[in-house]
Amino acid sequence: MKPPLSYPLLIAGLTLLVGLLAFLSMIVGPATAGTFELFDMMAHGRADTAWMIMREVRLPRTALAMLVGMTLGMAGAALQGFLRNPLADPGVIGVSPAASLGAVLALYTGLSAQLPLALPLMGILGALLCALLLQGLARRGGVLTLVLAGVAVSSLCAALMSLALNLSPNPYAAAEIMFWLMGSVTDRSIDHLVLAGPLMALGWLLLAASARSLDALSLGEEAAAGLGVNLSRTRTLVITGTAISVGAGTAVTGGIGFIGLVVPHLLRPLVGHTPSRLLLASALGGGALLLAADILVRVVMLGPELKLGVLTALVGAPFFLWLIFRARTELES
Amino acid sequence: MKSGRHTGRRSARRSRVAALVASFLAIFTTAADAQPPRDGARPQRIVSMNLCTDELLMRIVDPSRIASITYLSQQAVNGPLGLDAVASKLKINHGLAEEVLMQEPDLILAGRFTSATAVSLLRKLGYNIVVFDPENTLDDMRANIRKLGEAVGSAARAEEIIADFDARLARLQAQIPPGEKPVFADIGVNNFIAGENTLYTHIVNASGYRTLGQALGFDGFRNVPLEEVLSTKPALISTATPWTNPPSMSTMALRHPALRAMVESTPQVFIPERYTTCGAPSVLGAVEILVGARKAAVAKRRK
Repeated sequence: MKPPLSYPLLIAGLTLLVGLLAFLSMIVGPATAGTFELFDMMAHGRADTAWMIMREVRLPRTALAMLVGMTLGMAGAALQGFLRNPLADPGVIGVSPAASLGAVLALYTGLSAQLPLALPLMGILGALLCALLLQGLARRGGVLTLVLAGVAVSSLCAALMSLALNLSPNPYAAAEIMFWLMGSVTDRSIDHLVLAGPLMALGWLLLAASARSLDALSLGEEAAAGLGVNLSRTRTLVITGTAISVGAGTAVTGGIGFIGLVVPHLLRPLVGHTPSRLLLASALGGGALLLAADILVRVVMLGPELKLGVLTALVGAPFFLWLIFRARTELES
Repeated sequence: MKSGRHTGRRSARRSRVAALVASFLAIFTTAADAQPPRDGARPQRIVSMNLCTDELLMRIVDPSRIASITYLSQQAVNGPLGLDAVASKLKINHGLAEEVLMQEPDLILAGRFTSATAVSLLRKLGYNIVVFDPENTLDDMRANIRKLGEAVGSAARAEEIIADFDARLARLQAQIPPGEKPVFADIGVNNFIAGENTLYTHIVNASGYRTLGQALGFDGFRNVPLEEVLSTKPALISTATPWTNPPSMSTMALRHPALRAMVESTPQVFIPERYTTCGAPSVLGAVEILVGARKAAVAKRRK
C-alpha cells in the first residue's frame, strides 16, 4: 500500500506541527490567570516576573508534555510492532501502572512530603521492577505469555493502588493520590525535566535500536528468525526501552492514557505500515497530541484545571472507536 | 477532692507563668508599637492556596493585604461563616503556580495536601511559603491560627481571634443541658462516618453529642456498612449532606429504604459542610446548630 505522502515530507510536517504547538504552549497561559496576561505584564514593567514564569513554569511544562507524548507514541508503536497486537500500549504490559504504583506509594507513605523528588524516583523504580519481572517471565514463554503477564501485573498494580486509597489515613491524602493518578504536567519544575529527560532519551535509543527487527517481525516470528533477527534481544530492547522511557515519563506526570494506543493507529497508514518508520512518526505524533491536549486543558477552565489524563482519555476513546469502525468498513467492503 | 486541689494549685501556678509571659509580650509589643509601622516588615501581598488558610487569613489580616484566596472560598457551599462579603471582593487562584506568580506574593500559605506540585515549584523558586497541616482538633485550630498570625506579623490579632472563639464557644457550651452525651449520626456520603480523632468528632463533642463513629468505637473516618448503621439508635440524625445536591452516586446510600424508618423516627438537623470542613472559627456554626438541637430535644421531653 502506497502512503499518500512521502516519509520525509510526513516527518517534516509532524516536526513543524510539534514546533508550532510547543510555541503555542509557551505563550498560552491558564484561562483563569489570563491567557495572554504575560505579554501585558511585559508591557507594563513586570517583565522580570513574566520571564521567570516563562522559564520556570511554562518551559518545563511544555518540554515535559512534548517528551512524554513522544515517549508514549514511540513506545506504543514499538510494542504494537513487537507484539503484533493492535491493542498493545505501555499500560497493557503493566509499565505505566507499575510506575503509578511506585509514585502512589511515595504519596501514601508520606515520603513525597519529606522529599518531593521521591515521587518520580519511586515511579521509575516501579517501572524498572515491572520490566525485570516481565523479562524473567517472558524468557520462558513467547509473546502471548508476555502480554498476559503484563495484563496480570497491570491488574495487580491497580489493585494495590486501590488498596492505598482504601487505607488512606484521611480524605485529603486520598484526594491527593486520586488527582495524581489522573495525570498532569501542570506546575512541574526543571528538576522533573532534568530527572526524566535523560531517561526518556535513553529509552528512545533502545527502542530505536529495535527498529529493523520490528520490520522483519512484521513477516512473522519464524520468517524474522530466518532473516537473522534475535528475538530475545529485540524483546529486551523493547521492554527495557519502554520501561525506562515510559516509567520516567509516568513517574513525573501520572497516568496519561490512550496516546500510546491511538497515535500509532492514526499514523500507520501514513508510513505505509512499516514498523521502523512508524517509531519516529508516532513519537512526533504523540508529542503533538499531548502538547495540544495540554494547551486545551489551559483554555477550557471549568473551575479547577482539567487533568491531562482525563482529557486524553475523553478525546482518545471516542476517536479510537471511530478508527475501529472505519477499519471495519474498509475490511468488510 | 485531693486531685482537685492539685489541679487548682497547678492552674494557679500556670496562670502566674502566663501573666509573666503576657507582661513580657506586652513589653515587646509596646516596643514594636512605639516604632512607626514598617510595612516592609509585614507581608503585604499574601496568597492563600488552601480553603482552610483562606478563612484564617481573612479573619486575621485586612483584605488590602490579601493578594488572593482560593476560588473555593467564593462558592456558597464552602464560603466561611460571615466572610462572604470579604471573599467576594478578593482575587482568586486555583492553586496553579502560574496564577500565584503573576500575583507577585510576598507570602504564600498552603495546605499539606493541596497543590503539592505547585507548592514545591514555588518553594524551589525561593518564595516564602508556610505550610499548614489539616486540623484534627480544636487545639490544632488554635495552633494554626497562632502560626498564621505569626507568619503574617499579626500575632496579637490571632490571639484576639482565639479569645473571641473561646468566649463564643463557652457561651454556647453553657447552654448544653446536663447529662450523658447522646449519639448524633451524621451519615455522610458513602456512609462515611467520623470516629475518634477527627475534627468532626471534636466539633460534635464540643456541642454535647457523641458521633456514631465513637459509639461504634473506631478511629478516623470509615465507610460503615448500612447494617451497622441500622443497628444503632441515634438521638439525632443528619442525612442531608450538602453533597446531596448536585446528586452523586455516593449520596444514593442515604435514600436506602432500610434507612427510612430510622430517618422518620429520629429528629434531624442539617449542618452545612462549610461549618465542618476546616478547623476555623466557622465551626461555631455547627456548634450552634447542635446545641440548639440538644436544647430542643430536652424541651420536647419536658412537654
